[in-house]
Amino acid sequence: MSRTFAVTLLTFLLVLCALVFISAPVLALALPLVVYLLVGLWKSPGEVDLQVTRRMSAGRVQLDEAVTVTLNVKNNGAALEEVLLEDVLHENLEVTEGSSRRLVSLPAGGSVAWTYSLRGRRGYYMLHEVRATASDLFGLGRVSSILGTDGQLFILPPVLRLRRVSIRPRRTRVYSGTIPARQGGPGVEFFDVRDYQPGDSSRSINWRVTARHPQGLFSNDYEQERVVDVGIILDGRLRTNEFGSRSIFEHSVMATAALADVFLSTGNRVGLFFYGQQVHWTLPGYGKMQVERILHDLSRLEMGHWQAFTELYIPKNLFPSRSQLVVVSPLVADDFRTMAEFRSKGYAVLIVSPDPVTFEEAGLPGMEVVQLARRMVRMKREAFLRRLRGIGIQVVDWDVSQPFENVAVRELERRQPVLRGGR
Amino acid sequence: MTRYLLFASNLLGFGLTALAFASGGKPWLAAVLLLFAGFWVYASLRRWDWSVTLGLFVAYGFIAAGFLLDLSPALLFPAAFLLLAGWDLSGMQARLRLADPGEDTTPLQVRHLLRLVLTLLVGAGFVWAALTLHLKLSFEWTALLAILVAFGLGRLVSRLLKRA
Repeated sequence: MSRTFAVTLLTFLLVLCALVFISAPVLALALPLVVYLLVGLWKSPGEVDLQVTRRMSAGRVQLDEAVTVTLNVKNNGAALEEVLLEDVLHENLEVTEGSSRRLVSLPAGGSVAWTYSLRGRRGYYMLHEVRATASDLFGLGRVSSILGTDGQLFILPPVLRLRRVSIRPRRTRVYSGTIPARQGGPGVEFFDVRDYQPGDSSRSINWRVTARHPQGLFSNDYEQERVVDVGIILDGRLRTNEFGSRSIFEHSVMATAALADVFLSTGNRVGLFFYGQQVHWTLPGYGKMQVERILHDLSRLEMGHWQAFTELYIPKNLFPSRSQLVVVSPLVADDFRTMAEFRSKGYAVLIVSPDPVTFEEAGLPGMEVVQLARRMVRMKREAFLRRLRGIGIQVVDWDVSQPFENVAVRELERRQPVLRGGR
Repeated sequence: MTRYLLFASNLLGFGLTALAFASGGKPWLAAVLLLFAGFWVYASLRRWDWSVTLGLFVAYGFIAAGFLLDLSPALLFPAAFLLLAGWDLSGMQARLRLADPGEDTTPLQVRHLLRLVLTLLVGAGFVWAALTLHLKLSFEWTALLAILVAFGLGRLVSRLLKRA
């Protein structure tokens, strides 16, 4: 019940009571209420004409990094006796210092400025609304208004620095890089022995082979190292990522950021495909700008209700066959077909799979039946991963209770053998 | 400041009303009112906002009943003013809770209190005038005043509806 309505109702009830019982004191009792109501309405604000400007210490921050927001509100209209100014924040943002609200009195032409700090969960946030609720000092006449401001905030996922990720796609690009190209030429790793060519350095002559074959000289050939096309596919399906109120998705995002960073820092061409609430492509690119693009895109991704990778189409002009695909997904058994299709199209596939079994188990009671169920699901998952490995897919089964850096050092930095299966 | 004043004015308002009933030979009604005052204090501490308006209606109901039972106006009118002030201060306190705890709202509170006191004084003046001045009006003047009152109430209602 609004305050104005309450006072008005009480006044009318008293007047009615006075008329029914013909009582002057009861009628007189209504008079202070009438005066109170009239004074409140007389002083109640008309239109709210406020102008808000916002300054932020940063437009993009890492997770857990605080942003300082300064709001300046100027009153271009009539004086406001009491106005509550409230920065409208997303529920994932948390004020860490100061307050996003001010209760002030603003004279005509006056202004008020205040600063507060906030931080939040990974995401992209529009900070473009400040709610102003003006009222008289009795709080009877209220006028609410939403004031527009400029402001956006990217809270980026953390980027773990990995040293290298060893991949061996069959197709490489022409520029030199760090990925073995299965072609002889300038390089570091031994590749083959060939006839000596005029111009070869004397240090490249393989004296052992030359000694066995006295008819000529033989030189060592090294494996060229080139850059490659890497397509990272991030699985954002609720079905695979959400377990009750807990989600493994943030781990996937973190791994994706780390992988994108390491591939781009070694000169490769990287694109990101997200399959969640929206199907989203970050077109392939090189360098630091591409890292920024991918991090920005990662910050705004949300999980969605897609069931299977049914509409997962990889355009060949962006990712030619025989290039590298990296799938970051907890995986479900239905995904085998899609992964097999990738292999049949010639892609080299690396799957980084945050382990949903241990993740889900951590949130369950340690009952015997749960343990039994865990063993069954674990066996099923291991059989599934074995099937994937059987068709030449490199699979990293990541227990998310372990830091991703440790897993990456153990399973991704080692030089990969040429995998069997597929073309 | 507002918090203490609102408790003080409400408790004093309830107390004066109960005293009026007790001194008028209705001790059981006074006891009921004091019990309600206890509930009101509890509800206020629990921040049940609806209890504030309920308290005003119940207290004014008792005061009106007190007038009809010919209890002492010297106790009932001050009680009515204190209860109205308490209800208003409760609203102010609720709005102050929305402000930043570190914010200095003292000037706002002082201005609010000044206006409240002035308003209540004007209200008290009208009450005094209504109870002491007895004008003999002709039928024509009474009719004119009735029309003006109806017009004023109509404007008031339309303004309230426009704001709502």
